[in-house]
Amino acid sequence: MTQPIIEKSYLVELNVGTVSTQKQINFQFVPQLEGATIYSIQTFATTDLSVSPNGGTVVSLLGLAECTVTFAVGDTQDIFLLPCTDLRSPTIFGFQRMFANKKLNLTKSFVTINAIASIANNNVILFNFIYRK
Amino acid sequence: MNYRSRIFNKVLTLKFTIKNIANLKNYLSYDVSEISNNVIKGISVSYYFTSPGQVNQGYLTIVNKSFETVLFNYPLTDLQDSTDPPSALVLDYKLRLFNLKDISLRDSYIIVNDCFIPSTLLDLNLNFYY
Repeated sequence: MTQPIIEKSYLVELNVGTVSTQKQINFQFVPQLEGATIYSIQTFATTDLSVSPNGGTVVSLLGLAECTVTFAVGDTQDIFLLPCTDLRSPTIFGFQRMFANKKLNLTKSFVTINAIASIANNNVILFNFIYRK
Repeated sequence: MNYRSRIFNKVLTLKFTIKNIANLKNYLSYDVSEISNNVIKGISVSYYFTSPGQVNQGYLTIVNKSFETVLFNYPLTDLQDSTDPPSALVLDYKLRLFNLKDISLRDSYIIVNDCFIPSTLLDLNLNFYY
């Protein structure tokens, strides 16, 4: 596995709100990532980052393991129900998971909560998008 | 293992003192031509915080000379080098690789977002590989 050469990065916060099983939380529109070519994505747990930039409590590692993420390119769900933990660097020996230059449609992308045992209301899931534009 | 790394010509370490106040932008108030005139190919963090956990609350934003934000809230925890064994081990001592041109350090900043030791000054070293 190689690791990317980072040209630009943007950290996105996704607040899960009131948690419930099978809840889907869509990403907000992020102007900086509009039309950007994304080639690596990272997630973090509270052991990596305790507080989000906006002051939210970051989801625990167990909570992250209860979530999957679906990323859409146009109307196609290219990355479907990927476990969020698979994007966390310490889980994959420090690597950053790479993708083949995706122009993601973030507003049609979402996180699915599959269980609620370890996620609290208003926890935040952090996604670090590595991109070029 | 096909791990991509790079050969660096020089490394410059800058020391920053950061106020541990939530959401305060600690500007990197340096004007170093070596940084702004070279392509930065790697960045790592060495730090001497009173608690190793404090780096878990820091985010780095880097702005270029055109006032374009190239790194927005990049987690410091993801830049740690081998001076911090607990976290460096989980990243397996991988140095994050960049391709950053025309960096303006004066417009770049670090925020530390949780003041569990309020008003403490934190010393942080940023190592730039180029």
